[in-house]
Amino acid sequence: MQPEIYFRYLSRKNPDARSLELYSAAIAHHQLEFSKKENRLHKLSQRFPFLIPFIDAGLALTQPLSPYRKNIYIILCILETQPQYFPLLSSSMNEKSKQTFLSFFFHGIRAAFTGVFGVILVKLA
Amino acid sequence: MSEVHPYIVVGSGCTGAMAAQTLVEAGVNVLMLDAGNTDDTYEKLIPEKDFTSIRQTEEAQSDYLLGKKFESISWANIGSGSQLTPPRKYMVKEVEKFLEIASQTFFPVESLAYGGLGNGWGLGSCVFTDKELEAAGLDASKMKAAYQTVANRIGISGAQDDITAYTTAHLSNIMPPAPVDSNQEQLRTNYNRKKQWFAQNNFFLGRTALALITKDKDHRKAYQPKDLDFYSDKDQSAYRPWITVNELKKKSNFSYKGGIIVKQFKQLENGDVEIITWNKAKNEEEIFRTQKLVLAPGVLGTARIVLRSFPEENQTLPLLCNPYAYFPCINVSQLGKTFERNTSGFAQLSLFHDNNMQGDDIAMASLYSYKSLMLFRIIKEAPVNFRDGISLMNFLMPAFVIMGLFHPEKSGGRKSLSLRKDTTKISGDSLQAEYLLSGLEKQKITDRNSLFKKAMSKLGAYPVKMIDPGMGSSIHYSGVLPFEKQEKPFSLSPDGKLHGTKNIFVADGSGFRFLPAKGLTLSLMANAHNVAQNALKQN
Ligand SMILES: Cc1cc2nc3c(=O)[nH]c(=O)nc-3n(C[C@H](O)[C@H](O)[C@H](O)COP(=O)(O)OP(=O)(O)OC[C@H]3O[C@@H](n4cnc5c(N)ncnc54)[C@H](O)[C@@H]3O)c2cc1C
Repeated sequence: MQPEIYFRYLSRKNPDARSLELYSAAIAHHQLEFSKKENRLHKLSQRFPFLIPFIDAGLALTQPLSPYRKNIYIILCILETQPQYFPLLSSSMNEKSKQTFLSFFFHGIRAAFTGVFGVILVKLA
Repeated sequence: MSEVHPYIVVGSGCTGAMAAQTLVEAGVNVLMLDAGNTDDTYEKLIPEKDFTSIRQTEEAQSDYLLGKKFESISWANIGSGSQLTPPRKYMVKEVEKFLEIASQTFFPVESLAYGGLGNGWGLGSCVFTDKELEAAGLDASKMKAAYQTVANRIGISGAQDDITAYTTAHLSNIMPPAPVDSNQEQLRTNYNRKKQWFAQNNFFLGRTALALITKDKDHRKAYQPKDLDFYSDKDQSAYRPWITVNELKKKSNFSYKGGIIVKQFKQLENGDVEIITWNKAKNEEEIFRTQKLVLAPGVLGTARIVLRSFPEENQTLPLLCNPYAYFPCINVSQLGKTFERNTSGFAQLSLFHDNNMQGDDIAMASLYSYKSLMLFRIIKEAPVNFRDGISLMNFLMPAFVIMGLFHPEKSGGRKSLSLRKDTTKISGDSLQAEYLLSGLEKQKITDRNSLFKKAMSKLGAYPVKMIDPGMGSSIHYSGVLPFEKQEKPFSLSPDGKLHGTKNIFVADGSGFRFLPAKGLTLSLMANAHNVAQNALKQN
């Protein structure tokens, strides 16, 4: 498994060595078995990383506990516990950050659309 | 034959610690037998900083926030075990191995830790009303005195407000409450504004009374909110039973033996009691003898030990457990705000519903802000992709109010425990539990849930969903050996003695015949103190 694309998906940055090390250790404890379909989705994600949010969203609605999503979830857990990602993942704890209704609605609407297309994509894959 | 100990207390949880302290203070010799698991990994890793500083600066934070074995990464829905962060997980270590339970309907949390479940309890402390005490089978005047003794020992903070009658009532020496955050302050403002509606509907809101000291007490330091309440107890401001047991260990008439699993007891002809145990380190049976045995291994633990000790009876025991559910709510006035820095993970406000204003049918909700349990625990509940989920949750989190709602519990429905032989288990048996509410009970719970949802909306915090973590998740258990004035097998006399025995006392909640929908532990501790006093008297 090459996790870099999923790190980039969540953080828009290449992962640092420590995060990758933690990822390997976490995967050793939480082994994930990808089904044939999930392997296809993973390959698709590697070729076309812009599809990851759609696949993630489609699975969130149809199969939230799929190993594909669990893999991204593990990465999210790791990012949330790394100080360099604090501003990104914990903006609600960052006194300097401003969270606007506008951005909330933007993300809400985007999440809904991504979900609709994602469900179709996951069904077709 | 081994030495005969004057008193043996089993268990170092809230009830064992209180019973032992009463006995030790009376000057008798006490041996405490305990499974005694401890945290050898995490407490020392957590730096002396507040949660935000840790998050912003500490490279190694994943070690204790996720766990060295990434044990916090779980696919299960957020439920009753969610507060058990890696530094608290030792509380439930070895439970599956030694405290086998088989059930499709009842999913309790038990502990084999030094300090028991008290290592992670939420500190919510309430006295029972006179009617509740009577229904539980407890003597109101003795309990009132015992509440004060326990409050003086452990330290309680709270406020004089609309819920004082349900929380600290007549207690004196109550310390001022810890500060309230702006999320919950807003609810309080809304409550004061709409007080008439709340009073008309028999709802009352106020500060949760907590076993948390806000002034220095002996060697314990006054609480400074750092958002580390689910991770660390370095300042000892939160009452944990090991604080008491650590102090007792300094006394010459107290000794402690950990690593011991008590299996059963046998009454000897001369009145002494033989205790058959499993020594975990030696991996062999070990027998202790005492003149008086005080059992405090937790209600389900007591059920196992007593059932094993009278196997010929093939008995089924009754069981009580408060029905419980969580309701994440959104406090709209806080949407998009950023968190204040040092706040508290404990319940800050409690909402009581006194159904007929008679004090005998009360339900209670504890209100929590959601911060230090982190984004990753809740994001998986949202049916969206994780990237948008991060932004959405950061917007919502400062506005979350988690309502934990407890319902009172009387006997009814099908709720029972029995012991079945199982040679595949180390103990040779497993506890079978059945917990099914009657249709009437279910209806009452549903109706009351609706009332609470309405009350929360009036406070400006709108419930988004109900999470039912399953029966047993309230972690409030009792009633397996109900108090009975008449001599009756598998019951306790009102002074805590196991009927049919001479020198066996039960100091945990096994006798309570009714479970008010409140934090029960203050009452468990007060009863444990009374039981220990009764054990001293009956010489
Ligand atoms: C997350 C959480 C939050 C909670 N919040 C609240 C709250 O806010 N308010 C409230 O009132 N209550 C709360 N509770 C419940 C409270 O923790 C319990 O009611 C209380 O701790 C029970 O104490 P106990 O002494 O009866 O039993 P336990 O705490 O279970 O202690 C049992 C002791 O016996 C030992 N033991 C068990 N079996 C054996 C055996 N066979 N041999 C030897 N030793 C044995 C264990 O090691 C332990 O020391 C909470 C619990 C949890 C887990």
